[in-house]
Amino acid sequence: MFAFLARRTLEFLVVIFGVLTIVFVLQRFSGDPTNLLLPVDAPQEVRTELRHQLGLDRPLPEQYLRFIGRVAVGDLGDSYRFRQPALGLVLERLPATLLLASASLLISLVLALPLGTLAAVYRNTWIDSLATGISLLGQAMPVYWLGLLGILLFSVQWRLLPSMGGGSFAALVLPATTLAVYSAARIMRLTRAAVLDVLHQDFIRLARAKGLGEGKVLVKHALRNASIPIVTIIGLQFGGLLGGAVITETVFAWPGVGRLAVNAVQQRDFPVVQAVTVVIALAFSLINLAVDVLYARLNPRIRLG
Amino acid sequence: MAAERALLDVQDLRVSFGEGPRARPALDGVSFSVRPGKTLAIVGESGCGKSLTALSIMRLLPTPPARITGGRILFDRGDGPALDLASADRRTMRRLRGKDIAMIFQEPMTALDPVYPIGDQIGEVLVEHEGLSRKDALARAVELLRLVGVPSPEERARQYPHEFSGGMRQRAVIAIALACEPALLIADEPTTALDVTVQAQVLRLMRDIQQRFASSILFITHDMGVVGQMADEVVVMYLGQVVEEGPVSAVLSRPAHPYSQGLIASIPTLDMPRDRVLQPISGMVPPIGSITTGCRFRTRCPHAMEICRRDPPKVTTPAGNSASCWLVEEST
Repeated sequence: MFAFLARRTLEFLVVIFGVLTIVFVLQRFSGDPTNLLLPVDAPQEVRTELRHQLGLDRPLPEQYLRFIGRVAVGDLGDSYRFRQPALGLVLERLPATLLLASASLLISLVLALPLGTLAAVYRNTWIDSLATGISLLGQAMPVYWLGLLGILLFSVQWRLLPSMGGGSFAALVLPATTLAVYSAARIMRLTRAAVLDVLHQDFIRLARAKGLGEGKVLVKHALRNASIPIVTIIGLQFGGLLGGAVITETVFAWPGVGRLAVNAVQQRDFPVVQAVTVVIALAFSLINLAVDVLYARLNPRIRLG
Repeated sequence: MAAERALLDVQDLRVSFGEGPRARPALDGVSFSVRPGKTLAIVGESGCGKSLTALSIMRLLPTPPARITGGRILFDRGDGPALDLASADRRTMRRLRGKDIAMIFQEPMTALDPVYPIGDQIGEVLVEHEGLSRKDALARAVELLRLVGVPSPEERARQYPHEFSGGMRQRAVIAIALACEPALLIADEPTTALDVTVQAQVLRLMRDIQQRFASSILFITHDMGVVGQMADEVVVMYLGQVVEEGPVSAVLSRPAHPYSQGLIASIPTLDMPRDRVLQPISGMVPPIGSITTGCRFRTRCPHAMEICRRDPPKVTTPAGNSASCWLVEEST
C-alpha cells in the first residue's frame, strides 16, 4: 500500500510539473506582456526597464527556473487588472466552484446510480429503454442551451428560481442541475454497463446457488464489483465538472473560478488565467489521486499488486 | 429397490427456450432418480442438456429465455411428502439452495467473487442458512478449508481468489458447497477446467467427502473415464433426452445404445493395442429443436434404420441397463 501511494504521488508530481511547463511555454508564446501593461506610445527606456523588472531580459532557462521557484512558494504573479496576487483571486472563488461541482456531482449520482442499476437489472424492458433514452437525451443537449432553457422556464416563465448570482440555496439549484445533466447521463450509462457485465459473471450464479436473496446478490456481489469502474468515471466526471463550470458559471453569472477565467481571458489578464489553469489542474490531479487510492481499496487485485 | 425412496426423482422434465411457436425444446421428457448416498452421473456431449438439467433442479435457469414447461422434480426432505422443485416458490427454493442442495460449477477461475476473502465467501452460506455470526462462520470456514485439503487454512481464509490456483479455488468452491452438509451435491463438470493431476486430486476429494457425509452426488460430465471412477449409476443423455441408463458396471461394460457405445469407444485406454484407432462418433451434435421426433441420434447412428423415424421403445437388457433403441428391442 505504501509503495503504491508513493508511486502515485510521484506520478502526481510529474503531472503538475508538466502543467507548469506548458503554462510557462504558452505564456512566452502569447506575446510580450509589456505591450499590455504599458501604453502603446510608452518610450523604449520605460519598456526596457519594465522588462528588466519582470525578469524578461534573462535567458529562458533562467526564467523557467525562477517561475518554478515562485510557483513552489505559491506566487503565480499579480493580476494586471486587480493589482492583487492572482492565486489569491482564484482561491477566493474556488469554494463557489467546488460547491457548484459537488452539488452537481451529488445530483448526478442520486439520479445515475439507481437508474443505471435498474436499467441493468431490468434490461430490455421498458424501464431500461426509458433510462437509456433519458441518458441519450442528457448527453445530447449542450450545457449552455440547457442552461438558457432552464432560465427561460424556471426563472422567466414560472418565476420559481433565481437565474443568476450565488450565495443562496435557491440560486444553486438551476446551475447545479444544468451542470449535472451531462455527467448524470454518462455515469448512468456506465453504471448500466458495469452492473450488466457483473450480473453475467459466474460468481453471481454461485451467489444465487448459495441461496442468497436477489437483493443481497445485487448489493453485496454485483454492485460491489461494479463500483470499481464506476468510481473511476465518477472521478473523471468530477474533474470534468470543474472544467465544465466555466460555461455554466458564465450562463448563470455564478461567482466562481470559471467566470473569473472567462473574464481574465477577455481582458488578457494572463497571471489570472495561469493561476486558474494551475489550480484546476492541481484539483484534477488530486481527485485522480483520490480515485486511485479508492480504486485500490475496492479492488484487492490492485491493493497487493 | 422399490422400497427405498429416491432423494431426487426427476420425472418427465421439459425445458424450452423461447416462447410460443418459436419455442425450442431443450429438455424433452428427462427422467431419472438419485438414491440416498449414491452418485448418479449424467454423461453426454456439449448441448445434450446435462447442465440445463442441473440448473433446472437448482431453479437457476436463465429465465428468460429458458423455462421449465413440464414434469416434476421431486426432492425428499425427509419429512412428509417430497417437494416438487419444478413448482416450488422462490422463497422455498432460496432456503433450499446452498443448504439442502449445493452446486459446484465448472469454472473455478471465475466462480468466486474477486473482492471478498475466501473465508468470507465460505462463511456467507453459514451466515445465511445457519444464522451464524460472521466470526463463528469464519472459524467454520477455516475448518472447511482444512477438510477440503487446503494447506494452512487460517492464512488462506484471509486471502482473495486471485491468490489461489485453479485447483485450490475449486477446493474452496467445494468447501462452500459442503458448508451446510447438503443432502444433494450437484457437480457440473467440476474437474473439466483443471489439469489432469489436479483433476485426480479433486475427484478423490469428492469421493472422500461422499463417504464422510453420506451425501448423494449428481455428477455431470462428458468424460466416460470419470464416470467409471465416480458413479454408482449413469444416465446417458443425447439432445435433451435420456438414451440409456443403468448401473455403471453394466453401462460401461455392455453399453446397449449405439450412442453409449460410441462414447465408450472414443475413450483411449492404456492397455489398448497401439495400432487401434479411436472411434469418434461421426458428425456434430445437431442444434436443439432440429430433430423433434423418432430417435434423435439416427442422423449420426451407424445402425440407423427406417423404423428409427418412430419414437424408440425403452428396453431393459439382461445386464440391467435400459436403452431407448429399436436395435435393442430387436435383439432381446
